[in-house]
Formats: sequence, C-alpha cells, structure tokens
Amino acid sequence: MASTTETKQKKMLILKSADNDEFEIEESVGVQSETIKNLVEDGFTFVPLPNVYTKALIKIIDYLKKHANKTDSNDEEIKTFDKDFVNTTFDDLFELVSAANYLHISCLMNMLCQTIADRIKDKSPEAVRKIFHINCDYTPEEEAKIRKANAQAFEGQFDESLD
Amino acid sequence: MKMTAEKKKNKAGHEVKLLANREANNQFKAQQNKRKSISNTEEGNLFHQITISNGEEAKNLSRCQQKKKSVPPDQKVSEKGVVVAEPSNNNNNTEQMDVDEPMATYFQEEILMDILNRLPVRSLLRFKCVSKFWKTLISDPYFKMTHLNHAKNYQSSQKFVISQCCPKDGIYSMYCFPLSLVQPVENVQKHDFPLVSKPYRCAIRCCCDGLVIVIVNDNIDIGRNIHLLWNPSMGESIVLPDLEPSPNDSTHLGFGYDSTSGDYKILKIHTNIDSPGEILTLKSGSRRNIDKHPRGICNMMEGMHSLPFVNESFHWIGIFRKYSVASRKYSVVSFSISNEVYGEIPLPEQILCLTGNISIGVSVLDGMLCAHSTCIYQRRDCFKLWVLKDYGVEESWNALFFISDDHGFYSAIPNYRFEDGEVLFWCMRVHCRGQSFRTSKGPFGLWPRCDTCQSGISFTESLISPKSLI
Repeated sequence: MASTTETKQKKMLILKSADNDEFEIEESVGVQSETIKNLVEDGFTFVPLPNVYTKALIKIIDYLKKHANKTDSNDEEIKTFDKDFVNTTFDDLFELVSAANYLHISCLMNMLCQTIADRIKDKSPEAVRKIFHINCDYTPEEEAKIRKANAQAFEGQFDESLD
Repeated sequence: MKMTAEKKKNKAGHEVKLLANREANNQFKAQQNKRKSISNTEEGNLFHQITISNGEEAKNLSRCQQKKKSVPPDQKVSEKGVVVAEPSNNNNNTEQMDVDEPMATYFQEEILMDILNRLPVRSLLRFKCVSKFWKTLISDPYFKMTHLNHAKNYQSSQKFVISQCCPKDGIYSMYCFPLSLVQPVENVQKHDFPLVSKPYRCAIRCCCDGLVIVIVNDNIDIGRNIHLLWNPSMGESIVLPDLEPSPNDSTHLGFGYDSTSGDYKILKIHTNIDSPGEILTLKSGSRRNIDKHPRGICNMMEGMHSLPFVNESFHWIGIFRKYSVASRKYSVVSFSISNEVYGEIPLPEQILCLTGNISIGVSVLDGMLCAHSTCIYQRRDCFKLWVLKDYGVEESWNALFFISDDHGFYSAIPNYRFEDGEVLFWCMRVHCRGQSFRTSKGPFGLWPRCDTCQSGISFTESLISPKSLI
C-alpha cells in the first residue's frame, strides 16, 4: 500500500533469479505479477525468485516491459511480440509456464497454456509422451483397451513431430 | 455461493483421489526432475521450490497449514496467508527440499489442467493413452466440468450435428462439424448411427452440455420411437426410457441440468394441456407427471423443436385465461427444473401485434432467451427475432434480427448465433418441399447435400459420458 503514487523518480525493484542473477526493473513493470505485487505491497524492493531461472526471467521481464507499455496504438506491435515470444521449443515453454504460474501473471499463463494446447492438439499420444518426457506406464494390453474404448478419437492421421 | 462451495468440495474430493494415484504422479514428477537436472546442477530443486509457490495459494488453506511446518525460518507468512521468501543471503534451496511431496504433484497438475482444459474432446480422449496419470486427470468429473465451462467460451468447441437421409436407401446418417461461417468440407465427420443399425426416421431434438437427444425409429419396429442420449464428440450413447409411447402424440422435449440436485432432467410437454407433462430424472430414473398450469388453455409448439433451457428453467409459448381485459393472451411459460414452479414472461409487444398466419416460438441463443415469429407480410415471408437481454425483465426485449424473403420459407427456428451476429436457423422451404438450414445470406452448410429431411442442432462439445448419467 505504501508503494503507490508520490514518486519523483521511478521506483525500482531488484529481482533475483534462482541462479543468483539480479535484475533491476521499474516497480510498475514488476507489479503485473501478482506475486511481486504482493511483496511490493508488503514493502519489499528486493525480490528473490528462487523458482525462476535467469533464462526464463530475462524473457519474462521482456514480456512485462512490453505489456506495461500497452497503448491503443501499439496493439499490432504487441501481437507480433507475443507471437515471437511463444515461438520456441516445448521445453522453453514449460520453463516459462512454470515461472509465469509462480509469478501469477495471468495473461502470460493464458497465452502459454493456449500455445501449448494448440501445438499438441493434433499430435499422437506417442509424440505427446516425448514432448512431456513421460514414459508410458501402460501394458500393451491396457493401451489397446483404451484405444478400443475411444476408437472414434483414433481415426485418421496424427502429427508425430516433436515441435 | 452454492457453486463455489460445490466446487471446493469437488476439488477436495479430487485431491484425495489424486493422492491415490501417487505412483503415476511420482513417475511423471521423476521424469520432470530428471529433465530439470540437465540444465540445473541443484538437482530436482525447481520442483520443490515451486511447491512453495504453490503453498501460496491462499484458497487451499489446509495445504498452507500443512506447509507451514516445513517453511524455513527465513520465510514469513504474511497477513494474507501468503508465504513469502524474506530477502536473505542464505541459500534456502536446501531447506526447501523437505516440503511434502503431494504438493509438488499438485503444482504440476494445476498447470497441466490449465493446458488440458483448452483441448478439444477428441484430443483428450486420445491423450488418455499418454499415461495413467493423464487418464486419471481427463476422466475426473471435476475436470470434465471445468473443461465444459472453458469450451462454452471457445468458438472452436461449438459444433453442429445433423442427421440426413440417404436418397438411395433411405438410411439416415449423422454428420458433425465445427460451426463457422466458412465451412471447409474436409472438417465434416460422418458418424455411424449410434446403437441403431438401420435408422428409418430420425430427429435431433435437444441438447445440453454436449449431450444430444435423438429420436429414431429403426426399420424393425417402425412405430416405436427410440430415444437416444448421445455424446457425438465421444461417440457414446444410451437408450432412454420410452418418452413418447405414441409417435402421433404431439409432444416437445426439454433437456437441462438441475444444479440443485446435480442431475440431468428431461421434460415432456404436450400441446394439449389436459395431457399431463412429465419429468424424467436421469440418475434416479424416476419419472412422474407435473402439475398442470393453473391458468393455461393451450401450449403452442408449432414454432419450436424443443423447450429452450435458460436460467435453470424450460420455456415454451402458452395461451392463458385472462385475468382482465388488459391482460395478454399469449405469453412465455417458464418451468423451473429444480422446484417445478411455473412462471410467466410477457412476449415483446411487436409479436403480440402480429396478425394473420403466424408462427411464434422461443429458443436460446448465446445463453439468452429469444422469441421469434414468422409471418407473411405483403406476400413476403418475414422472420423476426427478439432477445431477452436480462432474464425476466420485460423491458429488455431487443429486436435482434429480421429477414424478409420472397423465396418462401416458414416455421423458421433459430439455432445458433455466430460471433458476427449472423444467425443460423432451421426452416421449412416452400419450393424445395423440404427442411434446411440457412442464415440471412442464404442456405447454410457444405455437408453432402440433399435438401430434404435434415434435422440438426448446435452444441458445445463435452467429455460428459451418457453412461455415467444413469
């Protein structure tokens, strides 16, 4: 509460990543994250983020900066930025989605989850297992049974690629 | 309020269930940890650290309390119940390692659920094969409910199903496709007719939560109506008890979910008010007659295929005895699904002013109650549609749509409203001697064409299994 208004110079925050890198950002940029906002409201200006690694944090700060400067005129620019932002590997997306979830940035969560969903929806179960690093724990008989019970969903060709 | 309580209850039940599946979860987690360890020397830490963030979820108090025991001393619990890391030079990673394991799985589950909620039913059914853990998530009743609520807001989850008669052998088939104004023909999926090998007559009547009621006759016993409850997205169906013993009896069906009892119910209403209406509860299988409307003279059903279900009530047009000269003759009748109480909603003034050969009815578009009329005006067929923006508020009737056409159509019934405001409706066509779907721009649909014997309905796809409802 104490951290609003009456700013002659911009209030700054320091974010510290899990690999101990520190980043200085404007408070107005940081508070788009509910987690950071709660800390700021409790008077913190130094925010350790033990769950967010530098690689993801750099990207997320980029995102927050871009979205903090949202105006009516730069809508297209932000759309292009978002499109580039999610144009990455699944492992990167998972890292980012974990970080966005921890930081409680709901618009970013939405975008990342939707991107992952859109990219896996036409894939085969085998491809999904590889993408999510899951070992199949079914016996061949069990798997055949599920396929039979949902035969309609297995008609046709599926995307086997991993990107 | 009730809903929230219910959700919480569901959620709690859900977690218990998931703990039982810990084995599957652990495997998932172990794999995730393994992956992390490649990029991170402090093996597995990310997971346990994330658990802390999860503990921040104030909504899950019990977990928070459970968590506090393992919160390192350099962390504090703020007044909001949020666990925050105090600025500290200690490397608290090691201390965070001893957090209870189930919470780590809860975190993964939360994000995974968010992703799965956005997938089409077809993908989810296929992904039951991914692992036991995924199957548990996808089969969970709470997930099915959140998935449906998500789907209701997604354009791509809105589908259309039609039944069509093959002109060669007179056998009916079903076709399903996504609803959009541009219809790529390759998206049309043909479905085998559920449960009946050689359907002879078929009508798609009403739907709720991705479940469609279809009335069909097979060619073995033509006189008998078979009522199917079908989930087209899952390809699963059940036969309902006989609702209309005689096919000539003019009846209309409504299908809705009663959130008070947590059960699906089917209402059957006759045009003749002296034939008692009947309500069927799916889970218990109970069926009984409902009370007659105290002032009803007649139910008007010509302009409707089914009884629209809005605001936990079924609706149709009724004609009432007048209290006074000023009172209206026609009105919308509402019948509440849970306490079975009749209500009355006045129709828009303009409908009441219409004269001549008119048909009127009620329907539901975008979750709002609509009233429509078709009449002949200066030798042209006119279709008008009104929407009741605030349920129960007479002043909120708004004219939504108007078509005037000299190609001759009658008995138009609206079915779906596209994002751009265009309305898809069913109508009888004078010149083609058949029934078809159209929009204001003209005929709709690229499915294998034959302009006769079409019935269809729009629905939101869902994971709700008909077999689980009885």
